[in-house]
Amino acid sequence: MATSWLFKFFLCVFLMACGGLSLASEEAETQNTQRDTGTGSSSNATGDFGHGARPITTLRIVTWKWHHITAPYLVALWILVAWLCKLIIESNHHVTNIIPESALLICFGFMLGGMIWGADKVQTFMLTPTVFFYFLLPQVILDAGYHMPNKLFFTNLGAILVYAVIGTCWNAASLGLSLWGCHMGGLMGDLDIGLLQYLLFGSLMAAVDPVAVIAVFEQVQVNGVLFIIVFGESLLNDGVTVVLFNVFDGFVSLGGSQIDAAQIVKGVVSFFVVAFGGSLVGIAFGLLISLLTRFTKNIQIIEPGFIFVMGYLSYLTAEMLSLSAILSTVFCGVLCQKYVRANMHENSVQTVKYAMKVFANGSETIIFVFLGISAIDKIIWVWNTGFILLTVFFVFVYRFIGVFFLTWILNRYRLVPLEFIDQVIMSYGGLRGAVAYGLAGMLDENKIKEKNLMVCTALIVVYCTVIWQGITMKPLVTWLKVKRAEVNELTLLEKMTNKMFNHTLVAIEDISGQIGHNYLRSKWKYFEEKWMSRILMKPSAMKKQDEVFNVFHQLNLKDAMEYVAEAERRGSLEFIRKESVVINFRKRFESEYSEDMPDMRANMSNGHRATSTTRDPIPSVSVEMHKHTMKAMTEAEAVNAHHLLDQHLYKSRNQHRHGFSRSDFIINKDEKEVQEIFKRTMKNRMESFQSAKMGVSPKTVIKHAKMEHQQKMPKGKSISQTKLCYSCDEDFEFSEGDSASGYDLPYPSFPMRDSRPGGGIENSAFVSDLYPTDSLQTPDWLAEGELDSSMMAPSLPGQASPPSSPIEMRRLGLLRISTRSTDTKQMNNDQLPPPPRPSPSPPPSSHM
Amino acid sequence: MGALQSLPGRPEYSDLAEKTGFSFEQIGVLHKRFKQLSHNEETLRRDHFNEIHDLAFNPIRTQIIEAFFDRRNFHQDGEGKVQEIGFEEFVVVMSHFRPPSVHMTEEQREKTRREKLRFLFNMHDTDNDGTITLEEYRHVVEELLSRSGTLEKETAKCIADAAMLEVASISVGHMEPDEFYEGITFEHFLKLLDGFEIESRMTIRFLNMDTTTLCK
Repeated sequence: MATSWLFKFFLCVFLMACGGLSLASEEAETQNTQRDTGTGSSSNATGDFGHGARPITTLRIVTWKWHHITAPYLVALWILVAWLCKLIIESNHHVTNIIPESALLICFGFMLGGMIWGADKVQTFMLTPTVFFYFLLPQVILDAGYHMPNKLFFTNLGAILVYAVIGTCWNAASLGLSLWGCHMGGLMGDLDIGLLQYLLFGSLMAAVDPVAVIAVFEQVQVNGVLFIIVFGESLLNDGVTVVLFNVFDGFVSLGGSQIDAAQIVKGVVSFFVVAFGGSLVGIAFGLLISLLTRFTKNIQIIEPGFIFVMGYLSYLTAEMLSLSAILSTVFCGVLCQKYVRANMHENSVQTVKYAMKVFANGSETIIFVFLGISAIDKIIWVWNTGFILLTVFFVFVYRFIGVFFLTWILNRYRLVPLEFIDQVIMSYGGLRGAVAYGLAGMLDENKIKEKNLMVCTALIVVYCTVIWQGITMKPLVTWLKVKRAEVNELTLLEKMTNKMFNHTLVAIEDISGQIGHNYLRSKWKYFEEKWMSRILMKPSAMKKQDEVFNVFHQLNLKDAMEYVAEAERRGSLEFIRKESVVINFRKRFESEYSEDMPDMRANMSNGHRATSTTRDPIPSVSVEMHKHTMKAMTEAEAVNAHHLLDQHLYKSRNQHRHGFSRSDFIINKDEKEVQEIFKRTMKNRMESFQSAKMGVSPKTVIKHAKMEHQQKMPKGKSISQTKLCYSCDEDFEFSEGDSASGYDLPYPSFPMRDSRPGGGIENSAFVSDLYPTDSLQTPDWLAEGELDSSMMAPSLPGQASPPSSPIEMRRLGLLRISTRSTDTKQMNNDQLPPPPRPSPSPPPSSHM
Repeated sequence: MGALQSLPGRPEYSDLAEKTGFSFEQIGVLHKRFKQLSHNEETLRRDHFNEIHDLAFNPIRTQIIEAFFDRRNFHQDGEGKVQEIGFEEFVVVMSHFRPPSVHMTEEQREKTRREKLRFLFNMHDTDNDGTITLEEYRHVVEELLSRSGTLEKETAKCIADAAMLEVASISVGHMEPDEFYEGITFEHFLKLLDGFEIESRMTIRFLNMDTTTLCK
């Protein structure tokens, strides 16, 4: 119900917008007849009409200056309308599940086009080749290149090239010749199209369109190899298409009689020049971007902009040199992605990523909407049943034949052959799109009499493939049980295994003396690491290159985020003390050690391995806290909490000094700090892991949702004896902290520590005060203690209940010291701070 | 089939071909390589492997070389290490990396997968007790990251720890505090790498052509 209302509402908005637009365009139309300059009908008389035209009789406060802003205004409005279409479409998931978004956008385009047609009686807006090729396509291609899964792409490069080059040539030739044959056979009636023009038409229809392919395949989620083959083909066949188009265009201009062997040879040569030249331009720009980002540290704010500008320049440069612009941009993106990501600040990398998506997705939307709008135009509708239907038929059939034939050849050489089902999907995924339409629009009407028929046919083929094949693709994929994309969340283990496995493959190739993919890849990697990285990458960034390190980094980030989310869910820092806290320590020890805890500790540190699996749970410490209701102190405490955080968190975190400054955007990202956070987090993880495994963990039952969550942390096997006892006394430490904070309930940083024992998800950035580093190891805990006590001062009434078992506490403290002395782990130094002494009787003084 | 008979004087190959699934040509090439590596001796020792030039850059060289001398990789229930291997063992180890045939039943695919994963597992499980303990895993990770030069040893350890922790949380899920995570068993290993396409990826193109001269 709600969605349909929403839908109606937006329709109304559309009608209004379009009404406004058509009014506007009527005005504009009086001045312009040509329509090749902009998305909207551009008025070329904007400048003349301002206030200079009429004599001023009186000072007007407000003036209507529509003509000043017509063109940009229309462009902006159209972008808005197209994106609103997407918004409506995406809000109806049950529709997009069946019909792909691209098809729906085209349908919306029909509707919008119809409205304009109804208002104007002529189509004033359409997708022109200039707009498409220079303003809409580049960002889609750049995005494709920049986010290309490089390894997958280069592994399958051979197959992709075969499909892109031979497949496209085959499509063009077969389509052109067959249509010509049918024409000769008289199936199309009277058409003024010669063989060369058929071939020209064939060449522009041959190319699989990247925009359409991305749009449809993104929703279908087929497996990586299949996707990369279709997608890579759609990107790389541009070189072929451009060459074929130019060559046949030239041939058509020359006329049949002038074509001799020399011209044909030139055509073939031009293919290599265009394709490789375009790639080279792209590579040059890619290197340039990489190099540039090495030095943009001081202008971090506009750093991301370089990628876009240079990417666009690579497109335009290639276009200027009449090379393949798409290839250029793709290779630019492919090459620079690694170095850009490594060199730029993390924020910039994110910005590039999102901005790229915004541009690409946005222009993709506009392309589809305008493909729809362009259809509603009387001029281009020249119907010729034979020509149109045969084209659609041949496009479909020859795609199948081409793919099956080429795959048959490829499969003889492929390590992992493409299966029949894959081939069906690949053939079916041969979507034609805006590139074909754009190229058709570029045809010269003087040379090709039937241009409109060709444009019209191109449009129909686009609709057929995008709408029909788009809709049926998903059911087909499901029906044929095509391997879908794997859920791409690799675990650390998988990453490690992957790495190991790659090295193994290389090694086996080395040993067996075969030169294969792995051999070449390892050689390339060696070269890349040795030379390219050194030149193109900041030295500081090289370390982060390792993918394993990345996963590790991701894990840590996830931890931190989970922690924050968890905290926020419970309402910022307030959750700390609103919970009723019940702490229940239970220690489980081996029965033989159960008599005396201190002794046991000592023994264990002396090297008795606690491997016995029979463990009697012996609750040796049981501290139970009861509810503290502290409503009176919230305000004072909030202040305290902030104060404490200020004192103990990293100082420079998020200190934006001037919110208005355009260039001051510095967030502390000290290398060391990051490193430190990592290490600490890992230690925490390990502690919980080991202690849990030991079974001696003080099982803290705290009624926190979070705690319960954490209790699920698995228990693992510990490594060594030292480690073992070390982990034991770690636990004691915790228990102490816990019990201490148990009765010092108002203690603001309490939740951080209280969640430690379970501590699987914990970012130590938030508990930095718990584990002072070497440098901080000065009596930090003492200072903290002071602070704590000062904190507690306002909440003294809440202190009514004294520590339930101070003796326990003391014993624990002793314990810690005893174990510590024997502990040889060097890690302990920075890991185990002196215990924050439980301060049962806080000093009454309060230095707030 | 004609090709098979056209290789007279190699009756020993037919057994090997049957056992490993290599073609005669491939075995021929591998034999040449074997001779090249062993300096025309009948057996290969660890030193011979260490001499391979390209292998020197491989961070997990030791693990791989050990895999060639590990009995578990020759026989179903072998155990322990050997000091030198003959050509047959060499080819059998190599055969773990043979690409799967095009037409395979689901069962065969599963079997290949298990075999290949077993090979990887054995590379981790150095003491042959059926589990990869944290210590063993750490060792591998350290080796693995040792060549990248940029990662510190401490970080490597952290990564190994994190991976192990993750493994524990995935494979066991909730555990009681007195439970014990021994390490990764093979069954866990299989389960963990469930989404990991290995049967088609852990393959090497064994050419019929002799390219050994190109390798140092």
